[in-house]
Amino acid sequence: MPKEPEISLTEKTFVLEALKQNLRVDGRDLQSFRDIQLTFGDDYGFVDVRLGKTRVLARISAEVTKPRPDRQFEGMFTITTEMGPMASPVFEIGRPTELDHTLSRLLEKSIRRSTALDVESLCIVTGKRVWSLRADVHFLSHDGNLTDTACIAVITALAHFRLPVVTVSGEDITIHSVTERVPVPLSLLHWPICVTFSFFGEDEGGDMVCAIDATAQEEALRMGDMTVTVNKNGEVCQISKSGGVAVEAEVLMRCARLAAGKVKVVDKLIAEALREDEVRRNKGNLDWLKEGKSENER
Amino acid sequence: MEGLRNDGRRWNELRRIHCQLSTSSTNADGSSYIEQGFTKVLCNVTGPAEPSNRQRVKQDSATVSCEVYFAAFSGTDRIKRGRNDKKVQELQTAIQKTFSSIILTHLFARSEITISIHILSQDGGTLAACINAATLALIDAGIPMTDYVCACTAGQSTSIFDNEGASPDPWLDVNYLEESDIPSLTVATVGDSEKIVALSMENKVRIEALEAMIAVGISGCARVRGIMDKEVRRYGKEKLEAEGE
Amino acid sequence: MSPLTPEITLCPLPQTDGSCQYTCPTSRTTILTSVNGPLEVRAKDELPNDATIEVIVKPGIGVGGVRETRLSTLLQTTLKSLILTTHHPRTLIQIVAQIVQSEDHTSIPLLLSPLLNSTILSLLIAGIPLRTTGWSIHLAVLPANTPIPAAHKDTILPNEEGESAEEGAMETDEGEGREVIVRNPGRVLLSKAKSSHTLVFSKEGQMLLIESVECSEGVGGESADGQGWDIEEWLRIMRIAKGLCCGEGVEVVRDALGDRKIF
Repeated sequence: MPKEPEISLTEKTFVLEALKQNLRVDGRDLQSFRDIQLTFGDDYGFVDVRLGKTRVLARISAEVTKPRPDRQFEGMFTITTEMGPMASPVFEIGRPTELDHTLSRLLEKSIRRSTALDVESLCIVTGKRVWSLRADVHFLSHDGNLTDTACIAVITALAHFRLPVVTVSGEDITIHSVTERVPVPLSLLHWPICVTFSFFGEDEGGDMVCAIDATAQEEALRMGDMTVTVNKNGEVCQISKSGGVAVEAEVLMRCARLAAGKVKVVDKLIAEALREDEVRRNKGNLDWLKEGKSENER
Repeated sequence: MEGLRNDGRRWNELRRIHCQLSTSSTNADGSSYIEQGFTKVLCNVTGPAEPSNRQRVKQDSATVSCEVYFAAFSGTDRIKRGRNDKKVQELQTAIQKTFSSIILTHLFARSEITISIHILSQDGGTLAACINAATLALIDAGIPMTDYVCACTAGQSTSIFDNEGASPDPWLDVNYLEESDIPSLTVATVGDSEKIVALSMENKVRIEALEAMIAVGISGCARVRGIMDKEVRRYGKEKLEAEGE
Repeated sequence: MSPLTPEITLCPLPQTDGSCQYTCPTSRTTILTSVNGPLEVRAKDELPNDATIEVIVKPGIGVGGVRETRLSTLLQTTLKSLILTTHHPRTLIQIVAQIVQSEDHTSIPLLLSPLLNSTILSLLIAGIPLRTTGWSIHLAVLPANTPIPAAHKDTILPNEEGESAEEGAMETDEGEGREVIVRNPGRVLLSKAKSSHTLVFSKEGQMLLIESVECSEGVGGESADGQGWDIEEWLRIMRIAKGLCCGEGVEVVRDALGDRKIF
């Protein structure tokens, strides 16, 4: 089984000492994200998120299925995350690492349990037909902070996705293709966004050194971590800190407040990117209409 | 009956805690049993021993591993939770990570310490009870740790805020009914330092309410520690006296 | 750049030894591949005289299944004849292909050719020793008089010269029009096709892979004689594909690699 190369002692000391002086190897300060780049694909519900060298894809797909017998009014929503050797040779197919488990649980708690998506709106015919939505998360490149990146990717993809219009007549349902009826966006109740803090021990003043959006190198050196999921309304959807260095409650609260601030910025960034894509897409639609016309004439 | 919870407790009251050390006579090196209200957990610790899996060998420290088993009859619904259940795996990871940072692992290079937990009955605060039981079993096994790890839960009693924006007192040590109704969190502290080693919350809570919940949780941890420490001392004394005879 | 040139981004994943993002110009299938190697190999996969080639195809939707295994086997066997495996015995060359975008995530013919091309480019970038390079093309045979949208007009391949004898046979009863061969068709065109052929040729013109399927759902399926293909047609397809792979394909690889001096 391949292992992550160990970081040399010199490098380790350098990075940790620098962090204690509020400096990072890539020149950021401790409380800032790397540049978040969102790229959308040709179809709805596909997004490519980059944070520095970390790169994650998310794709939403929908199909019509039967609902679960105990949840007749609700559609289904699943998030699948599978890490492969593309992101890092450490990840093997079919042999999930601990990171795999924690990440999928975190996304589950952050997005599904916080009811970001109104699953009742996915119901077509009660007890007979519902939409089953799935979010596939693909990890392409791992340079730290996969959790936050994956969360941003899923939320953005959900906000970008459009569900085909369905008309019901009695027992029969008709799914209209994109060209027949304009598909509708999902009903998202809020956008929960994860912020992961990494703890690096105490500096000379006795304060805990904590940084957000750690790179893979920083992740390998950290002494503990905590993921806080907040939405822009300041509601904490999930907190998880398991083990690692023990931290004062006050520091944790400071982290939570900082996360709330960061999330507002990220939220705005996602909204902006979605709007830009919408504009681009509408332009494209006009071209497509023209093309469609010429085809009809022929 | 103003201000009382559904089981008759006040907001800051713990449920009855009963704990025991050296409960199993099997080949486990340490064992414990804890009841927090109707949540009942049994824990066995083996090790430091030779790692069962060669991949788990660490050259400079001991590996801490954790296995959690839910008894099928432990909850209100009879669900069988297998090894690959996500909830089981999450619990395992949380406990394993928590104790990896507390056990002095550098003393036992190339060995493994296994914590295996059986959940017999669930009535809220499962993670907290598991952590407490593991602490006791590790003490019983004589594995050196920096301090006790004690865990407790706290719930937000209501989301109504008064005019000053302050919320009413959070509830300490939630039971199953409360846990399914109101947002709650589990907090684990190290010794009496009030430093948090594990924190887990799965529901939506306003950031303003969080601080009070954590504070109440920490105060609960201190009380749990008192109860556990008393039992450890009582058991230790009993053991010494027995050997003296 | 001609509208038929694929969009190629080399090294989009800086953490890997070699990677490539490839978008087919007409079917809009986008594939991302990464190559790592030579790596340490698991004891059970170790070969005493050869490098082990592992190919993982990750689907865009859902988790890997039979289709992905099929694709990875096709890729693995083709690449085995390209890679000089004896140069790195007892090591692992790990190839991961991620289907990023496709008009139809379930269609092997749509995915195979971009997968192969992207992988070959990644191998070149990763500096894995190759016997030669190869290129893949996907061709589809459309029944006569299939309406082809204006946007895809340039995917129609010209008739071969000196085929007047066969031409008659190709004509339909009324004697109007003849079957059309298009390259890298999208989902819509492929659904009308009679048959689909994915071929790989090495730079020298050796055939490395041919994967032909009859498209039963196609319009051609309605008439019994519209099914399948005969040897003559097959040979014609092979000639066309060889011409494209050895001519244009080599050019595309050369242009993509630019001044990297690998080629």
